[in-house]
Amino acid sequence: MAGNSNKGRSNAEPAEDDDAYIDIDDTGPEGLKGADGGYTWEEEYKRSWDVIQEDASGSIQSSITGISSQHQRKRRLRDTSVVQRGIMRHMVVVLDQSDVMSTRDIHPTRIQASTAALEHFIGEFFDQNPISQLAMVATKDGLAERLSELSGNPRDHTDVLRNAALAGEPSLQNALELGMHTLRAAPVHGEREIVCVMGSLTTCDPGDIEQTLAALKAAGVRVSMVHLAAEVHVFRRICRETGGAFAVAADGEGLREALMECVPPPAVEGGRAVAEMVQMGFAAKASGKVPTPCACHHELGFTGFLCPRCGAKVCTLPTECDVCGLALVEAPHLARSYRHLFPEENFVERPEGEGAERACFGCGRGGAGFGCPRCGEGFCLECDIFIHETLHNCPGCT
Amino acid sequence: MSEALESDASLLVVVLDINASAWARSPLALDDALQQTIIFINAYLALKPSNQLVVLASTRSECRTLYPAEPGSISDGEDIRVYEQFRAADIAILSGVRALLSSASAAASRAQTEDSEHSLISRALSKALCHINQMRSSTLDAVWPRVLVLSAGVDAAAEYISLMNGIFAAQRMGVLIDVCKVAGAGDSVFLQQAAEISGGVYLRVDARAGWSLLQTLLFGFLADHYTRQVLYLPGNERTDFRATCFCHKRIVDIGFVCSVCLSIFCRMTPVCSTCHTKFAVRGGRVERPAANGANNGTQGTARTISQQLSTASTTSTLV
Repeated sequence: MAGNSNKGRSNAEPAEDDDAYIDIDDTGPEGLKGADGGYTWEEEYKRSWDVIQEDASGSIQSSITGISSQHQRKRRLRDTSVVQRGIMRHMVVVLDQSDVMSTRDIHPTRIQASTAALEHFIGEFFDQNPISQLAMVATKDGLAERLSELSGNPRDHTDVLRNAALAGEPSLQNALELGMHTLRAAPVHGEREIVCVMGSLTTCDPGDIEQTLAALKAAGVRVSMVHLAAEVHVFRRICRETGGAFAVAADGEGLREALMECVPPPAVEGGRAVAEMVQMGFAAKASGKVPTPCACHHELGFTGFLCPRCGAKVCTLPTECDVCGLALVEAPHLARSYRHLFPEENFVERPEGEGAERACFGCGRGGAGFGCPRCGEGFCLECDIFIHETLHNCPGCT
Repeated sequence: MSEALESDASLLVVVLDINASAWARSPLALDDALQQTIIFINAYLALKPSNQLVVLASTRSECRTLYPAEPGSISDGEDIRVYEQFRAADIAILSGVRALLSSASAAASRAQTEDSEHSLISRALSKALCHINQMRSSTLDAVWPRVLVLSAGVDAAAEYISLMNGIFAAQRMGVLIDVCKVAGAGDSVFLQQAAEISGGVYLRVDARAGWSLLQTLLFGFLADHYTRQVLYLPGNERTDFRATCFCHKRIVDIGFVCSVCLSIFCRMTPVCSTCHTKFAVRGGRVERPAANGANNGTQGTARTISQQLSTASTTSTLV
């Protein structure tokens, strides 16, 4: 637990120091030395406002644009290899609801920032993984509590996040055990994942976390974590050994980005996948003259979808029939997942001057500084990012 | 997204399908259709001075932006009888269509390709969304974007996945896709889904002759986001989203889906015919295959999957 205890900073300290610490391993005091050989606390204080320079006309716009486009370029490059991906995912999201989450180092408070980021994450997750399922678990007072069951309806999960009462210390072990228990119901062909948002540097566990770690590995559960304060040795180790990712979020933006990393479906490692034929029902739309209650929320409505096996009415798709358990989808939901199987290739940055004077193939403006390796058309940065993040489809190749 | 206000501007991207062989079979001449479309576009520009317009045209081999035209391509001459914006748009569209048709016929005679009624609609839609994204990021004012596809050709099976990607992107961006099926036999199933998923209008014009196209355009597609909140627009009966199985092309209520490549089958099979994955047998012991073993969803057969899917998955939504 005490791996990098000197990394746990008091809340009054500035947040940007986290960046420097993320990749430092546990190699004793030497590991804390910066690039110039000195300790980080000996370095001069970095003033973020020095980076922004006024241009000739006194405007800071060009400077800010430069910084943001650098930032975007970093995100530009993605993994585009064609590998088998776990399209049907089962994920448990663990949220720390301990006392420490009321700290105000991430505005407005850690818990509010996490709740907002998670709501965004859940929306994005179901947008990109329509045939996946999610459950929410909260941990406080040394206990773990299931907030929502595994389901494919984003509303079920975002509703339970609001108005969380904070108390005591979190328990990582209890949360992981509960998550594992929840995922036990998931079918063998599905990917099993746990994503934790932790704010506390300590955990209050009833037993040996090593046993939990071994059980997680045996069950093939991938654990990823975002920590809001610092890197904790045991947290990182669990993530590394189960094949997940560990990140420290310095601010709200960092938290959002770290969670976004968990949105695209992970590549399936050679030995882990089991393929199965999954039975799915293509529910037909039904509308009546008299409002009838749906089986999922017991709310009255004129329209709904009828389960082809048992005839129960559900109000949204995709979902699982509440009566017979059949997965209910529409054909476009399956179509939406195809793009993960064949991701768009990264565009190649063209050397300065070449193609810069040509118009972008997508929007017809600006310089075409990036080229698609398949069709050879040039695109501007704006279109490049749009094509890879939203459209998933090169206009030149289709 | 907040609600549209009456004062908000619109951004309309018109996609013209000018596939020559599709228009040759249509009772309505392309010339007449263009004339009526231009009247509609002028009406749109006249509605609000801040309304923005992009016009794309697509043949079976090429997709070009006609308006806004490249600077310098339109003569600066002035015609005092015509509103300047109308003139620029009209000239750009007419000359652009002419240039595109002549280059398409030249390319067709050179390549001796088969006469096909497929147009590059998914490319045009992708470009339209790029335009919308660019315009959105360059302005701070509220602009409500929509796409109007004037479709003449037939659906191309190979376009299914890319068109679907475009439709989902549009849905996420809050872009309405309106579809007006001007020529060609039968409805376009893909574009019906586009309108349905994005919340737009799908209308088929029975365009024998006369001005029925203009009438449909003005009454069905001129309304902006704000006006649509209070209008009940025609043609929104629901598309059937049931799937067709890959094996027998039968419509299925309950199907079996391969967990690796998402192919749909009407009955249980031991091996997926699309990606050749062997399935674990129920009831028996489920063994996880050895590393990089028999699992064929990986690298080697990926291209095969891609090829088969692009033809097979098309049928998954046809009813």
